[in-house]
Amino acid sequence: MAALAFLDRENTVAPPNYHRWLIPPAALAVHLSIGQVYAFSVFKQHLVAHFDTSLTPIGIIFSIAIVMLGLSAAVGGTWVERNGPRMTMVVSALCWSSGFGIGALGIATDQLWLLYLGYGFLGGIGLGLGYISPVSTLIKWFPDRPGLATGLAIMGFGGGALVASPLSNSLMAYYNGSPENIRGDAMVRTFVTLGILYLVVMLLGAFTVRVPSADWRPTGWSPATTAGHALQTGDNVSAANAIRTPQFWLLWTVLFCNVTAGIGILEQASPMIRDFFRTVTFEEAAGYVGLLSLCNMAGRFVWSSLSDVIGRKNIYMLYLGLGALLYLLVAIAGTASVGLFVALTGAILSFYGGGFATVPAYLKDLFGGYQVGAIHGRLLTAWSAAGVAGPLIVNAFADSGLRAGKEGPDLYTVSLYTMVGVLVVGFIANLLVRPVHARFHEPVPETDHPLARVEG
Amino acid sequence: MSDHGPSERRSASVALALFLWVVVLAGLAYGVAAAFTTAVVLIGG
Repeated sequence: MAALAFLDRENTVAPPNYHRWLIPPAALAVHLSIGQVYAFSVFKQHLVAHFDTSLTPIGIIFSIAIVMLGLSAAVGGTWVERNGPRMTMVVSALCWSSGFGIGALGIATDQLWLLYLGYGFLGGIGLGLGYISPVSTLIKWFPDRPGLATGLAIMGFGGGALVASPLSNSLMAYYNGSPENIRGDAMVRTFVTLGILYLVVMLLGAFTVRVPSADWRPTGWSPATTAGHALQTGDNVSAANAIRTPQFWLLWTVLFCNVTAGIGILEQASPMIRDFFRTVTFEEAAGYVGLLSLCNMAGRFVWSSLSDVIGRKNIYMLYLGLGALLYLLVAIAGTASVGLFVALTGAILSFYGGGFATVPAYLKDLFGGYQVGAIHGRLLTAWSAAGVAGPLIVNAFADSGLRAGKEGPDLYTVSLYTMVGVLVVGFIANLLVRPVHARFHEPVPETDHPLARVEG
Repeated sequence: MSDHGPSERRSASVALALFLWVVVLAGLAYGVAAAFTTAVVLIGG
């Protein structure tokens, strides 16, 4: 058991003068690895052929993973705060890589349920724990720039698919001897290779991560600096108390609306551009999906970093307010040109990514850094809910449009206007966010209060 | 068991973190280049 003590929070405290820019690669290593889940679609058609089934049973693997992501982040958040980032990253790495191993076994033995259990259930737990593991650590290292810090980490989740998609295709083609008609054994080897690769990269991240000592502060920064800004508090709220505040549920609504609107496009991107423009080929549509992923990733870093300057509430006004206008423009003028359509939807997807990356910093502003990882975990249930609602809205309206004899862009008109409404709801929820009432704050001895300490 | 001093452990930590920076930036560059090539070449004609 002594060897496991290396994983404990107290053994990850950084020595004095440890440079904080040595921490972000640990977070990026974990998020780039688990971000592979967004590239799961590269396996779908091959798995359908291998199991001789339809798309729906294969799609369930991804759905289980995303549901488990939200549940494990919500349930495991407090455990993550207590045990620290290194222990969490190691558990996440073991779950995520085991998920690939068990999934490979399922393909090799033609047992689809093993993919549900492995990649879906176990891998999903790895996703949830890995997603929240570096967030509160980075916020503690960058109390002066929390938006930049969380944007950097969560950008990795968006970038994971960019890496995994071409890598998985290359590996399958290599093991298969050809990119066509991918055999089961080539997928097994690809799963095992990815599992080992992600295990190594995530463990490197776990060994690299450090938490700052309790009295550590960036040079020239004091808690009073941020506590003076609107909505930013020098006090702390526990995860148990946070979910009793209206602010938590307003932010839940904000995240739900932002993600619902983004997923609506993300999930239907390829058929949508082809319905809008008959001249776009399947290959061009695939290129468009890649471009949207780039916008999603860039938005996570750029918009979240900008939130440190203009404030969290203002940046969500931009995501939701301008997002609604852009959706309206897609509905009204989306068919004018491919370039305009790509630019509008690319901007919407950058706001989608920005919404994910900025929310931990928003939570830190409102609830303090005490249990921000656990609160973030609970908030991610909005993601699971939006993951169901977004595609449901777009698919249901498109199906009813088809039944009514509509075609092309007309299939999406009602969905697009619905998304405008969803974003307006999120905009209003964000407008209503006010500082958390003092009755929810953790008791702090007078001499330990950050303002008391700074001001004497 | 280990007779490595704090300064040696610190140097190893720094070296590992710098190595990981290289790994993640190389990974991101690979992903961005692949997506950019596919998207821009295809959409650009």
